[in-house]
Amino acid sequence: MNDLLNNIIKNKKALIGITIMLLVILTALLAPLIAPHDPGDQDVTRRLRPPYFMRGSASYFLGTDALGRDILSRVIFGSRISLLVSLASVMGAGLIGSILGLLSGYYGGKVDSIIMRIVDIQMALPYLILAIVVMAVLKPGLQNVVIVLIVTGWVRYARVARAQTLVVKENEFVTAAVALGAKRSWIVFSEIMPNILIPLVIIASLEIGQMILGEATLSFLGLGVQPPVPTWGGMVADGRDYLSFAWWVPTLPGLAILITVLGINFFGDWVRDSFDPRLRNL
Amino acid sequence: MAQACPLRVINADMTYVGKRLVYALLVIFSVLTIVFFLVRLSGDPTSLFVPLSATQAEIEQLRKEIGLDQPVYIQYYRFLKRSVQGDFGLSLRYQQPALDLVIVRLPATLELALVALTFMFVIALPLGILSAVKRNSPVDLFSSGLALFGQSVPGFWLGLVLILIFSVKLPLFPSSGYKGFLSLILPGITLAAFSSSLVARMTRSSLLEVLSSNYITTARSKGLSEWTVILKHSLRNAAIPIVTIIGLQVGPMLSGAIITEQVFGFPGMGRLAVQAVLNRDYPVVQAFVVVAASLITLTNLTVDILYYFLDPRIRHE
Amino acid sequence: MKSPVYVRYSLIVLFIQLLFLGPGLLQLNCQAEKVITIAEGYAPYSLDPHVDTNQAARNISDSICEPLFWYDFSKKELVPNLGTSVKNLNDNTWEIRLRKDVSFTNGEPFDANAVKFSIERIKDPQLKSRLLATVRNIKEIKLIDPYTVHLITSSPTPTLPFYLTRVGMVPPKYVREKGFVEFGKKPIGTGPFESVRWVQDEYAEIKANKDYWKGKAKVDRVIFRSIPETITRMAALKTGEAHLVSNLVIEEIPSIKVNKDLDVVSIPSIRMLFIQFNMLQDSLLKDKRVRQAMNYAVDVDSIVKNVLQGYGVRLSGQLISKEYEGYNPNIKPYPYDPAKARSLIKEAGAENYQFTLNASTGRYLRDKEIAEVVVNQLNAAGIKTKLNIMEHGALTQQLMNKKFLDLLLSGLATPPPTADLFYGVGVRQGPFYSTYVNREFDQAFDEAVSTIEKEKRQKLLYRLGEICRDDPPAIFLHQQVTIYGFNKRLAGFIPSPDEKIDPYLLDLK
Repeated sequence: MNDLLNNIIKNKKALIGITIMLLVILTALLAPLIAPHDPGDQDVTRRLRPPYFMRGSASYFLGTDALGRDILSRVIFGSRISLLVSLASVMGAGLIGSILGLLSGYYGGKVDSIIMRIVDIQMALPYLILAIVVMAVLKPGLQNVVIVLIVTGWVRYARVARAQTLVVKENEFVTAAVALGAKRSWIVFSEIMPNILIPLVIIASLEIGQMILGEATLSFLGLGVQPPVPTWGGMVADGRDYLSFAWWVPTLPGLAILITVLGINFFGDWVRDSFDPRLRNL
Repeated sequence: MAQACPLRVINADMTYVGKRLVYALLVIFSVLTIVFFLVRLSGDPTSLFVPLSATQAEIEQLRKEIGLDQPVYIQYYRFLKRSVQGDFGLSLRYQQPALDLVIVRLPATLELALVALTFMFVIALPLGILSAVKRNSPVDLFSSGLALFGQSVPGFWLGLVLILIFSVKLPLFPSSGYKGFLSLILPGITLAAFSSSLVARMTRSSLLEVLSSNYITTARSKGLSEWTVILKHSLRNAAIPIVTIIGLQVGPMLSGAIITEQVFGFPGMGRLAVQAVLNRDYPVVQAFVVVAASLITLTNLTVDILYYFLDPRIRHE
Repeated sequence: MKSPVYVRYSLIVLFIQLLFLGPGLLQLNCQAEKVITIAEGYAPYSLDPHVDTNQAARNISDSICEPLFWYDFSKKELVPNLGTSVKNLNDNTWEIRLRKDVSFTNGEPFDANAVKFSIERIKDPQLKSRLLATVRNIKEIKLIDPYTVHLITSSPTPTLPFYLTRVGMVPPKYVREKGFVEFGKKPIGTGPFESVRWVQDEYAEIKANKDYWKGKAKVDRVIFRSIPETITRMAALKTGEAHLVSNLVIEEIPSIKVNKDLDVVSIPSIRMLFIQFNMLQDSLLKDKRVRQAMNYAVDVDSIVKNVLQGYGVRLSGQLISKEYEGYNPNIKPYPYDPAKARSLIKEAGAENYQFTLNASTGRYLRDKEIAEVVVNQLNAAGIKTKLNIMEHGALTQQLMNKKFLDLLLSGLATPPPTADLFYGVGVRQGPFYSTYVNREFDQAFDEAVSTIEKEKRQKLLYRLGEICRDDPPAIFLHQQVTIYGFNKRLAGFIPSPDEKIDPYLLDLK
């Protein structure tokens, strides 16, 4: 444990990454306590006020949006939804994709063909069109955004999981277990799964940011979560008409996305670097 | 014996390509089928295309015309029959052949993608290589930072910012439309941002892996110059994952084009497609899906064939 | 040694780029030509004047295919165009005399035949023309002589001449030859401009008709561009790529006015924004008190002042504005009174009922924001409401099928602006947009529309407004204001309440 902590502290990137992630998680958890205002509190007479650092008032530190709501409070509460959406979709897509990829790689044969065929078919369709079509079937809303993100996202995990499974399958531990007569399902879950986890976790960490951006894109097309729920992506999309006049309205939430993705990427890089023996000695 | 070998190799090559081609066609067909049924779940479009005063009889008449009065499997059968002849029906909105509408806009999107790809090759790839070679140097930090930025901002925001800075504030480029080379730059960069960032980072990590491998250490110990080592040896080995990533970008680029074309008022396929879905213009959605799926599978096929010739291991499978 | 693969690749790619440079270099037009660029948000799906009736599409098609008459908004009267006079011979017969010596740009003569063909084709089910409502009362068209037609209506239609301002004249032979799809790609008419090129979803280019019967237009070419993204559209104005742009970001107006090359002009349009009640469903909306309460609960003045920065005109307790014939100047708007709203809701027993407000985003100016404000205000007055933002297609479907739940943010404009057209399409029970249930209104409406005598008619139309004020079909919001940004080099631009842009009046200095 000490080694781990030392490792983290030595590596500046990791430190920044983990700090950011902790910050975001804490913000999401403590939102009602730290937000200065109610995120849904509209007052159209105080629209588009500039942030404090642009000669705005201190009580609306990051300024106000097009309906007079406090941007800081909305960014704080927005962390909840953005994290919820991205974590839920990453976990959903990750779970489905990894399991299917694992099964595909391990059992091979018909199972492999079918699953990989489905993957190929889905990857032949630009994901956004699939997302829009599914959104047109379901209606815009938080739940459906997560569903759409899962439906379009699982393929990325499946491919990697399968490739990794194929490699690990030949591993000594596995062949030994087979020789000892262990049940297939036991092998899958206790031998193979832990060993393919790392690349999947790395992908998942990168995907969290992509899910947040995916939600922003859907909001841009009018297919995001329902108001008044604040999400970072939705705030960037809703505020984009004010980019030239009140740039902080769409840009500050975008900054929140950027910082979060940065943190996750640094963390993900560190995880990869630490577990990749070849890079350790460079 | 020596004469028979090349023939056998060529045959093997052709079989490989042939097999992949058939598979590609199967994939396109399956995509089309799935989308066919999916769009029909999103609601009956008839009400969107009748004049307000339409009577029930007139609505039924229109449904008959479009073919929506038949049960789904009959619609599907008819659709298959016609589509193999290249007939994807008439756009419900434009009343013109759906496939023509998509094809007409294809060049614009392709040019946009080409500009984005150029950006990837000319800027992202070299930056990725440089970052790997000069690890942790200022160049590495700068390009990694830029790449991270490109992957972390919404495309529509980036596009609008580029317009405001490089078109309005600094009159360097047209702000929208498709007239002349300059009008492709800003949307091209917007489209390239995400994929280029990905490519740059992947190039960096892929090259790093290769650079630290035994093979390279041997090459270095042989006394070869650093650049020879990099360009001749490492790149070829790193080529496969890099080519994979670039090949995989076609799908995301078509998705990105949807957003970019909307922001820049660019008359491409992407814009047509998204409007078609939202307008429930089934024939156009189907035509778009076929074209997009063909593009993607064609690219994958090309990448696979490239693999085949790049990686000797595959050939002997 | 061979250059790396990727360098070769880049060279090939760059070479292909140079091929595209060519067209860019050819854009240096000869400066003698006057070319105006107009940018709007909408992209037409057909240039056939009878098919795509959205005003942005009409701006193009009306310049090519002119109607018999125009409507003068300031004088509220008919202006002769291809028709020189219109006379009401009896209750159901209208005589129209046509202008002589006018031809279509393909050589076909403009005459009674063309009029008959143009009007009758609207009824062609293949066209799915949205102009159907304007001509459905025309039972028969008699050709008296090459320059006189008689329109026979199935029932008295006093506003028929006004409806004719919406019907462009098309060349019969050419349309029959080409079919309506080809005609929609490249229309031909008698108008001041001819179609040059149409790149769908991007721009339509028209050039001056040098043989136009009123005289050639002052400009040589006009390019209508469609730029859906607001900021991008505004950028086109600021960079000089467009001379006239509709619908800017309201807050940017001061900065545009300050720019010495640009200016802004705005005009209240005939598009009315309101929140429609669906009374066709089994809900508490059937209770008049609930609907009145909602009108008391919404502070429209605040919405207009703050969300729209004053660019809106509050509706005065009726669905039509003063631009509409039949507007009742005696009706007062609902005052903002959330307390009254609360008590009315209590009376009606609707405190626990959850209403839904359906709205789209990007369809009307600031629609999503307005919807959010309204929901907030309704909730603040004790009327539980939740917002449901729908995408365009789904919303239109629900509107057409009349299946939307409770409330719908709607914008309606019925050019030419007459009460009978607006109420007929939007309020009176029927196949159009109406989700209002009020027998009294329907009867009064039917009487009003068939009355030809002016004073009696006006009184009846006023009565319609009063009925709606008391028994509201909607939450009355505001009249949209169209905002145009233009380059000062552009002369002759006169904004119109129906969002019409007439390139014939334009000149470039």
